[in-house]
Amino acid sequence: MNCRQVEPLLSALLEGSVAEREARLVARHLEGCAACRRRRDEFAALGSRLRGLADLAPPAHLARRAIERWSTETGASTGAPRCWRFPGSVRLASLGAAMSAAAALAALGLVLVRHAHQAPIRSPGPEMAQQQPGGPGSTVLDPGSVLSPKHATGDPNRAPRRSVNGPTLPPPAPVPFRAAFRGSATGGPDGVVGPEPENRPRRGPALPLQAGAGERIGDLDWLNGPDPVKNQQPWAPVSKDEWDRIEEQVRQHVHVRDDFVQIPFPRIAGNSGRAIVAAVEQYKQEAAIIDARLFQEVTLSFKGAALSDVCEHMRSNTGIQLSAGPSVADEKVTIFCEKLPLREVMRQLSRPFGYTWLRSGTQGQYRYELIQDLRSQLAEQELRDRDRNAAMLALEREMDRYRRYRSLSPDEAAARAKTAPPGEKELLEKLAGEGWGPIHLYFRLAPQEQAALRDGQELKFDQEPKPNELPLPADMVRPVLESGHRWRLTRRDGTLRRAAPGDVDGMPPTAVSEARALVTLSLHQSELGRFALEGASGFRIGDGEMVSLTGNGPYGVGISPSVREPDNAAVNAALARDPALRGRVNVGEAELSAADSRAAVTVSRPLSATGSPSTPKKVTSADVLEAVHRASGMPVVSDFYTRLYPSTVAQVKGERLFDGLNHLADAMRLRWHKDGAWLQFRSASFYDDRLKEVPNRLLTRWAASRRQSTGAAGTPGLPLDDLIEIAQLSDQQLDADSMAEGAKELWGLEEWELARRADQRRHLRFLAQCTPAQRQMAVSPEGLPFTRMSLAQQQQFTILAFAYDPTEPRLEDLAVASLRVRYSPPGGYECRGATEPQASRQLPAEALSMVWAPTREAALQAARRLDPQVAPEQIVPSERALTFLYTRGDSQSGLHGVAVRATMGGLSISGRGVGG
Amino acid sequence: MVGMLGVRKWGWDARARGAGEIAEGPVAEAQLLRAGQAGDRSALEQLLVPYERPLYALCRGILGHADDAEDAVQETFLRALRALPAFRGDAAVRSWLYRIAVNVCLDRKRSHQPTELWDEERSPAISPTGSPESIALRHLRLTEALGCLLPRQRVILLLKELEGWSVGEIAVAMRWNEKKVYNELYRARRALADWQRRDAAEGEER
Repeated sequence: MNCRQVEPLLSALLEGSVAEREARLVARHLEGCAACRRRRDEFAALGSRLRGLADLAPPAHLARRAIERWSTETGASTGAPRCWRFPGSVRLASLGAAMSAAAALAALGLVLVRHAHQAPIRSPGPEMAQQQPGGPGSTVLDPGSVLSPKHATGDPNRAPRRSVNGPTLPPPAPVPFRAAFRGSATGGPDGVVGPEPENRPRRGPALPLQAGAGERIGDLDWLNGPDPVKNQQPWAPVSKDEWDRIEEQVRQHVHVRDDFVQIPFPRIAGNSGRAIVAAVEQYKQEAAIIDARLFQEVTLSFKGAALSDVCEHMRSNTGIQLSAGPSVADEKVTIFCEKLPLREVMRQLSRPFGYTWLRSGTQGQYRYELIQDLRSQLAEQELRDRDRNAAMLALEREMDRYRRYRSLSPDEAAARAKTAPPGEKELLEKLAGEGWGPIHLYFRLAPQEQAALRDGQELKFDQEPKPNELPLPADMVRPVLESGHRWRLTRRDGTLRRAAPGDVDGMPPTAVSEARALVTLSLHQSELGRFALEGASGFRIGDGEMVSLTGNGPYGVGISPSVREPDNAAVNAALARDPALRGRVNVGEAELSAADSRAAVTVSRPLSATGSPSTPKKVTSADVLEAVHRASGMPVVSDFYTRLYPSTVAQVKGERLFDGLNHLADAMRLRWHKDGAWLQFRSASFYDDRLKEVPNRLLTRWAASRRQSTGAAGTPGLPLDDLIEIAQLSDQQLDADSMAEGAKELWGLEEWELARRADQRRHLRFLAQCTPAQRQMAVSPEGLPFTRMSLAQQQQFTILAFAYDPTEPRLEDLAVASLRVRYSPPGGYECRGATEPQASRQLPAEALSMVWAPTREAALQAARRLDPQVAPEQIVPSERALTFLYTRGDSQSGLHGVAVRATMGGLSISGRGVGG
Repeated sequence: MVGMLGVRKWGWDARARGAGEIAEGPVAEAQLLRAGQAGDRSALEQLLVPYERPLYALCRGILGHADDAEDAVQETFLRALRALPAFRGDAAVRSWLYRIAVNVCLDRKRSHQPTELWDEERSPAISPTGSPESIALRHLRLTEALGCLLPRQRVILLLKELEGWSVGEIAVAMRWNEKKVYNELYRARRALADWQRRDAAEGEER
C-alpha cells in the first residue's frame, strides 16, 4: 500500500469502517511512513478543534423567541393582531421575518424595487455629501418618499395594491429585509430595503439601492457581489456538481483568507485577541463604506470598446478616479444606458464578468480600479480545459463514424462512394483518397502516441522509419501508396521525376520499387475549443530526393457542444413571465441600419461592418445589442468579441422580447440574463474568446498606420513593421478565423492574412528578432547576409531555410547564405516562373520571384539582370505579396534558394526539395 | 422533569451519549411533542431549548458568522414549529431538527454570503479554558479554515465531528450514497489539514 491509497483510509478509520485486513495494511504502512503518521494525527486533531465550536454560547432565548414568533404568526391567521417586531429583541431573525413576510409583501417589494429604479435620481447635494460617512440612517430610504403613492412614479397601477390589501396587511415599516433582497441575481437591484422607523425622517436626496434596517451594504460588496468566481457561474454551462469541483480546485490553488477579496484584510502586528478584534473592526468599517459620489448619473453608449476607454469616459464625466487595471484594460464591452447611477453601471461592469472593483485612497477621494483576481482567472482556465476535453470527445465521436468502413481499401471506398447517400458519401470520399492512411492510423495509435498527438505533435509514419519517426504497419503500405490517385512518376535518364498530368508514361508509386510510403497525422487546434484531425499520405524516393505528401482533411472536427448550443430559452425559462420582457420588438434591417448611423455618437470607434450589395450585410453583436437597447429601452451590458454575423441571422420580427432575446442570443452564440432592469449578455465561449481577441489599441494603431502610409502604387498599405508586429500576436489570436475576418472587415486590415498564415508567421517572427538595421538590409536587393546575423539568429535562420529541405546543412553552404524579404503592394509588376537553374548565376532561380517594379518595362529589365532569358510574358501585374527568399550555397549549382511567398489567396513555397 | 434531563444531556453532547439516555430521550420527547402539538408552549420550549446550543454550534461552523448562525437557528425552530402539526414522530426530533438546520444553512449559503467576517464581542464565550481573546482568536482561525471548504463539506464534517453522526445518517440526510460521504469527509479533512499546515508555516514566517 502506498501513501495515496492509505490517506483516504486514514479518514475512513475515524469513521470506524475499515475492514480488518485493510486496517492491518494501513497499520503496517504507518509504522514506516512518518508523513502518513503526521496525516493521521492531523485528521484526529481536527475533531477536537472543531468541537471547540461548542465553547460558544448561543444568544439568549433562541427557542423562546422562535416560539413567540410562531405563535404570533398562527395568531395572525386567526385574526389576532400581528406583532412584527419581537419584543425585547433587536435582532429578530431577519431571515425568518423576511421569508414569511416576503409573500405578503411581494407586491410592495416590487414597488420598492421598481421605484428605486425609475425614480429620478438627483446628484448628491451638499447635504448628502455631509451625510455620506454617517451612520446607518443615512443609507435608508425615506419612508415617505417611497411609500406614498404620489411618489411611486414607476407604475401607478402598483401603488393602489397596497390599499386593496391595506386593512389586513401589517405596517411594513419595521420589517427587516436584511437578507431577502440582497445578492439575488434576478431579484432586482439588491439591497432595496424597507424604511426603518427609528431613523429620523429625512427629506432630501434619497440614496437608492441601499441596504438599511440596521445594516448597510458597503459599495464594494454591492458592486462586486459575493465572489467573482461565483459570478461566473451563470455564464458557463456547467452542472452544479461540476461547478463545485471547479470552485474546489480554485480554492485549492489559492489560499483564501477571507471572502472579501476586494479589501485586503488589515495586517495584524501581533496575534493577540485584541489586535484581531481591532483588525476585524477596521475591516468591517472599511467594508461598509458607501461613497456618495457614485450616485452621479451617467449615460453610456459604447460598442465593443475597451474597458480602459469606458473607465476613462466615466472618469472624465464624473471626476472620480476610475480605471481598468492591466488584467482587464483591453477587454471589450458593449454598454448602453441612459442616466443611471454610476454605482449601478460599475456593478454591471464587474459582476457579470467576474471582475472586482478595488478601492484605495481616502474618504472623499477614493480611487477605483477594476481587476480580475487570480481566482476568477483560474476558474476561467478550468472552463477552458473542460471545454478542450469536451471538444476532444466530440472529435472522438466524429472519428467513430469511420469505424464501420475500416475494412474497405481506398478503391473499394471509392466504389461505394458513388452510390452512397450524402452523409456517408463524404466519409467514403475521404477514405477513397489520401485520408485513408491518416484515418486508419488514428484508430491504431498506442496510448502514448495518442497523448503526443493531443499535445500538438505531428506524428510521422514511414515505411522505413528514421529517428523520431514511427513505423508504418506493413499491411498499410500498399493501400497508402494506392490512395493518391493522381500521383504519377516517370523515369528519365535513370532518374525518377514527377510525371506531368496526362503523361502516358506515368507510373503509380506502387509500380516504383524505390517508393516508400509515408503518412503524417496531427491534431490541429484550428481555434480554441475546436480541434481538427489533419493528416497526409504520400511517398518518398531515396533520402529526401523527392517527397510527396497530400491530404484531403480535416477528417474530423470536434467543437465543444456547450459552445455550439447556448439554448437560452431553457436556461432563462424562469424569465418567460417577466412583465418587462413581454412587449413585442422588432430587430431587423431597418433597426440595424439605424444603429449604424448612430454609431458615430458613441465614444468608441464605429464598428459596423461594410458589405457589398451582393453579399448580405454583416453585423457585430454590438450592432444587434444597440438595436435591442433601442427597441426595448432597457439598459444593456455585454462582453464583445469580434465575430461577424450575417444581418439576416440576427433579426426579430414582432416577437415577444423574451423570445426575441433567446433567438438573437442563440444566433450569436451568446447567453443572456436579466439583472434588475439590465439585460446582460455574454459570449457562450467567453473563456476561449478572451484569448483570441486583439486589443482595440493595437487595431486602432495599425488601422491608422495603414491609412497614413501609401505604397509605391498609390494604394494604402500596411507597413512591413506593422505586419511584423501583427505576427507577434499570440497563436490563439492569429489562428482565430473570426478575429481575422473582423480585422479585415471592421478595421480594414486586409494584410492580416499575410501575417496570419501559420507557415508565414515564423518567418515574420524571425524578422521581429532583427535589429532595424538588419531589417533594412533584408528588404534591400542585396539581402541580409548570414555572416551579419547573431549566433541565435543564425540558428533560427538555419532552421527556417532548411525547413523544406531534407538535406543536412553544411557550414560552407551557410557562409554565402542570406535572407531577402520583399513586401510588394498591388498595382506594380513582378516576374513569374523560374528558368532552369544555371550554375554560373549570382543568385538562385527563385530570386526572380523577388523582382518587383512599378512599371512593366522596369520589371522586365530588373528580371533580365538576373536572367537574360526572361520572356516578356513572365512579367505580370503584381498582387499584394510578402516573399522570403532564403539563399544558401550549393555544391552543384553554386547558389540555391527557398522562396516562401504569401499572397492574400494563399501560400506558395518553391525551391529544391519542396514537396508537391 | 426527569425526561428533560436526559434530553438535555443527549442533545448536547452526542459523543457522550449512552444507551440508557437514548432510550429515555424519545419517550420524553414524545410527551413534550404531544403537549406541544396540543398548544402547550412551555412544553415546546422544553423540547427545543436543549437543541439551542448544538444547533448554534453547527450553524456557526457552517455559516461562520454569529448573526447568521443566530438567524439560522431561529429559522430552523420556526420551520419546525410550522411543520409541527404534520410531524408524526417517525424520525427522532433530533435528526429532524438537524436536517432542517442543514437545509437552512445550505440555502443561506447559496443565497448570500455574510457581509461581516466575524464578531466575537457579541457572543461572550463561557469556557473553562482560555481568555475571551484567545477563544476569539481560535474561532477566528477556525472559521477561516472552514472557509476553505465547500459548504456541503462543512456540513458533513461538522455533523460527523461535532454531532457524532454516523456515515449512514449523514448519507440519508444528504441524499448521498455512503461512498460519497466517505470521499467528501476525506477531502474535507485533507483540505482542512492542509490549511492548518500552511497556516502554521505562515505563523512561523511572521
